[in-house]
Amino acid sequence: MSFLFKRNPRTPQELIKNLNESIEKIDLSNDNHRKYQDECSKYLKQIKIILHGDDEIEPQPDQITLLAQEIYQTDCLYYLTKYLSNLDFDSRKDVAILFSTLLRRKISNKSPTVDYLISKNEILILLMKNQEVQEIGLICGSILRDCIKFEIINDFILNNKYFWNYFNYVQNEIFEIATDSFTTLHDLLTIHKKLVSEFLADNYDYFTKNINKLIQSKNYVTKRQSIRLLSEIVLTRSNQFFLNKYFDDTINLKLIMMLLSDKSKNLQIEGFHIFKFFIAKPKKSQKILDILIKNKDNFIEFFEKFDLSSFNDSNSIDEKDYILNEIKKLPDIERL
Amino acid sequence: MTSRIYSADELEVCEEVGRGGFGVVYRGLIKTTNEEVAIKQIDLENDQTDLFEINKEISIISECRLPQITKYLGCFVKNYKLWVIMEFVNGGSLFEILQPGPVTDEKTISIIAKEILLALDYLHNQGKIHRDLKSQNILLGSKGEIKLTDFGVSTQLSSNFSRRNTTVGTPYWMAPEVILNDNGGHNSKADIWSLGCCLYELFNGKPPLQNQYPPMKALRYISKCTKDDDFVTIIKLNELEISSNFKDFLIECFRVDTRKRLSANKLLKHKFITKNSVDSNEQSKLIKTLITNKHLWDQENHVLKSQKFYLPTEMVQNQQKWNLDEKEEENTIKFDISTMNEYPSPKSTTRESSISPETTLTEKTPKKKTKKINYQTLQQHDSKQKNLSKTLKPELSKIVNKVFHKLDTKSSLSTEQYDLLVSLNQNFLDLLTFSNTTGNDNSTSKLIICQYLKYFMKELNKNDNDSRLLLKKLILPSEMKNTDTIKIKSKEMGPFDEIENSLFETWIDEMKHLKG
Repeated sequence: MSFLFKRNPRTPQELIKNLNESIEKIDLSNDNHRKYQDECSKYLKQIKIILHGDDEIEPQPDQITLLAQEIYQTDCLYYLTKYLSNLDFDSRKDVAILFSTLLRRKISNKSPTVDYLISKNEILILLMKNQEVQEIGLICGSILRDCIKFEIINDFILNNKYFWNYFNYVQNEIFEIATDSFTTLHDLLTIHKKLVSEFLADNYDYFTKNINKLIQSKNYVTKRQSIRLLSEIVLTRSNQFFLNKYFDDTINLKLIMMLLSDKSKNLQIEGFHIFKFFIAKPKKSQKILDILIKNKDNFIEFFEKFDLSSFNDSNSIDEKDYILNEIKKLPDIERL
Repeated sequence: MTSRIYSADELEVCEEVGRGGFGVVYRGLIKTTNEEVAIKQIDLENDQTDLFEINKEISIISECRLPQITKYLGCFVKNYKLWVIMEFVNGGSLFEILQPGPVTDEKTISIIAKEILLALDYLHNQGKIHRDLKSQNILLGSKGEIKLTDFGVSTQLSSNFSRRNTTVGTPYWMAPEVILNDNGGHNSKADIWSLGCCLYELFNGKPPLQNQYPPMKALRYISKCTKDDDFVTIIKLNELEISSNFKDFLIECFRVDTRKRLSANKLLKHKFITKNSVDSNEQSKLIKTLITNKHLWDQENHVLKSQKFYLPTEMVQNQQKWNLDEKEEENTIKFDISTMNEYPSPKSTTRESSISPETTLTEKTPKKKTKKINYQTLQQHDSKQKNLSKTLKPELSKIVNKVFHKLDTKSSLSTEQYDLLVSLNQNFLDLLTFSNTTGNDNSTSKLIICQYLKYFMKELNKNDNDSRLLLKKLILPSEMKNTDTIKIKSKEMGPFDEIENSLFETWIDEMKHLKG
């Protein structure tokens, strides 16, 4: 029956050409914008069928190759990104699927899309900038997270000035923009370990300043997510250089102590999982030691009451006992 | 409809309409427009709450815009709670609609099937799977809308169209490949199976196998299906008195081989759907009939109406109307459905409420030792405690509903009193559980609420002082006064709705006192 539904008479080249033309014509202030939106939507659906097939059609590799080449040659991905918010709601998601599929396409162990995106890096910058735009932020976030699975793109983004905007995006008043940005920030700082360790070593001051700001946020979710991210960074062995510096810094210790005394049980626990490293670090700086010793009695009182039982995590309970013991071993404060 | 809600200040929170492991759902109003919304409050400090899972759910629902999917209106954090604002659908869920009895009209079933297929086709096209499609997650609106909701466990296959491999779902609606977790997980076809189960449920009142087997056993039977017609055979589909189109549709949904099971897009072209298609007027008429039937049934069975209090006048009018028109044809009664609301909480129903995978597992794993129960008659049937409380629950539910109803009609309750009573009733039902006996195996475990009432009566009957006497006088109904302790004791399992009726009054006073 499939001949009855022949819906793709065009070649992939024609399809991309038409898409590029229509997308530039969408002018939201003009009444006829629906017409061009519908055209784009239709072309994007046809592209999806070439890439993934449907109930009747299996994807054809030679068609996919032709399609991909045309997309790179005409900078189609650039236009799709630039005019993303002009597309209708559901077509934007088709753009994300297009990116994702192209990125995974490999030719002799190389991803031509990755090479293309690095050479045409305006696309990546647009994606970063648009993360905070209400209507398209989530789409840009999901495209970008697909991109940074490739180390070379992750590298480009970490070393771009717009990366630091993420520390603002995660505080966006629109909840899903904020959390989506957080997911991207998290991925940027955890997936490619070697890259991240170099980045953190080079940018210790600026990064610490920024993450500490988030930890002091009044928004519970921002606070909790940023501590969780910090925990994860701290737990990564390769971030050695960063750790040494971080746990010698009294400002950090003070902030974490504040978390321990937070009203929220969850924040206390998250705080504990960072605090323990201040205690467990073999060579502590004198300033850190001074603060610990000064607060020895307070810590003992606090940790004797600190109840982790509701979290059903025997590891944490053991750790708490260990930390309490270590605190008890600290020298007593010298009284004058 | 309003585009987005940014803060709690824009909303007025009304009564509770649902509850789950995540938190509570309320009906709410947008202050400026008076539009109804559903407010899902998720407690982020709760140990079970996974912030990252919630973020995922929100990004999925916020990316869906389709008339057949409940609309997302925004969310924000307030203190330790996340408020998720969704479109409010006022006719209740399919599960609730089925409480009065099955829906036998195939046209209605086909319409519901079509709307859900549209929603599934939309989701599947975007690489999303619902993963927990069941009657509780399908909502009906008084304008004839059918909407898919609750994406608590749905997954976004963001990076590629590959498979998922986590087991989520609810036993009776689960596809074999989901249970077995084979083929490296499952894909969008799992939703099609669940849709088949929902349609079967519509016609039969219960999803396949629920009448015959407890959840875990049903799981085993479903998972044993390897050939395409296995499931169709064990649920005896051929014996169902349904049209051949409907039968064929269900066979397509219940194909064990996921490659052969039809996609949502193809099922939309199935004869069962195309032959039964109707215009929107007809559709809303048919759906309205379902909602109306349910409301009538609620009224007859004195089911708590949580919205009642907020629209008192209209409700009273409706009640009077119902009383007058009792013998008239259902369809001739015209009442304003928009003033109706969802069932307060599925817990108080006599039907088995939704079974989430976790609870099923804990229920079924013999964690707690079964203890001997001292109720001889029931012991003969089954010594399992669960069954006893199951037998008693409908009765207790009937009693507390009746008491509530009586109290409600005889005295004008304040909002606070009303709410307190609702929760008191709920607590009563929730306490129909066995205490953990600490002693040896010979000791019998008691139903907490019964024991509580027993002690209460005993205490009340100790003529200690004047105020105690006065209390007794206020609580015990006249026909029971001056009776000695023994007689009351012997009556305690008897007609104690009278006692309870009075009990409530004093308890409310007590609670008010505490609050004031």
